[in-house]
Amino acid sequence: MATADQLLKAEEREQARLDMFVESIEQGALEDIDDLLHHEERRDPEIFALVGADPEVTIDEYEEVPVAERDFNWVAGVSAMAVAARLQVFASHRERVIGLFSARARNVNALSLNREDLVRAAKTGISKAGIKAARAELAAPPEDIE
Amino acid sequence: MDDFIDLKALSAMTDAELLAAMEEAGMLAPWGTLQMQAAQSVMRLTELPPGSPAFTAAVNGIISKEARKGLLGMTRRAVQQFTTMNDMAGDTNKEFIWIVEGDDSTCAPCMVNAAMIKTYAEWEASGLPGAATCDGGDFCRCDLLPA
Repeated sequence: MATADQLLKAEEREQARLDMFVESIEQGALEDIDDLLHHEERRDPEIFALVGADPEVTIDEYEEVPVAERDFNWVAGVSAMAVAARLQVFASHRERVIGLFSARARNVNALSLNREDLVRAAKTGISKAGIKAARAELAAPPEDIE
Repeated sequence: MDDFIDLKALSAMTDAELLAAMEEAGMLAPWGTLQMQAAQSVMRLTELPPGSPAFTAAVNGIISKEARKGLLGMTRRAVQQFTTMNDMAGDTNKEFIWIVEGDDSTCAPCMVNAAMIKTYAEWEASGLPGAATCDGGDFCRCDLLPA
């Protein structure tokens, strides 16, 4: 049986792992989304079709539309394109995201607690300080085994 | 633990199939919701003339928001909902306890749910972590665990 403290520590560790994953892809994601908005070559037409975005129209072409002609359809088109670009970048990291699914299922949801400890953990809650400490642990190089 | 959602099946899908399956399972927000959220930023562009530095700056702002907050929120929701769906394993009468984010910044609607136990169906009706009732939306750190 795990304790309330162990459950919260596991929660904080997995949330830290997730935050660190997103931070690790952020710079590349910025560049990829920029590329997908301005160029059509690397776009996945199936993903763009999912959200009703035209895979052949770039943000530069939307920009050329006179201000007076930017109506609801213009806003919907640009919005769909932005969402499609984000989804394509998200999907490009699918293996690491699926890794986060597995890690959380294994390290948090597989823990067994009695009802009393579970309620205690639920009332105490996940803390930002705990997530910060978990980040430091995850970022630290493994200790040498003597 | 055995996964109710088959990770191998997810891995075998094309990117578009995977995203569609995740939306259907509630692991990604509905496309309409994502587009409505994006539209709030895009509306600013409608007044900015073609070729203006302001238009470029606003587009860069959208790119930054999508890459930072957008991806973080999307990933949080996907991971959280994946494990909840697995624990539920199709039984919406299974009971779950709300694990609250225990900091001062926790929103009032989530604080009310702290340590409350309901069936998945009841949580779905009253609002899962990150639902419209939560101020944090996809950034909510609260969790549901089997009770």
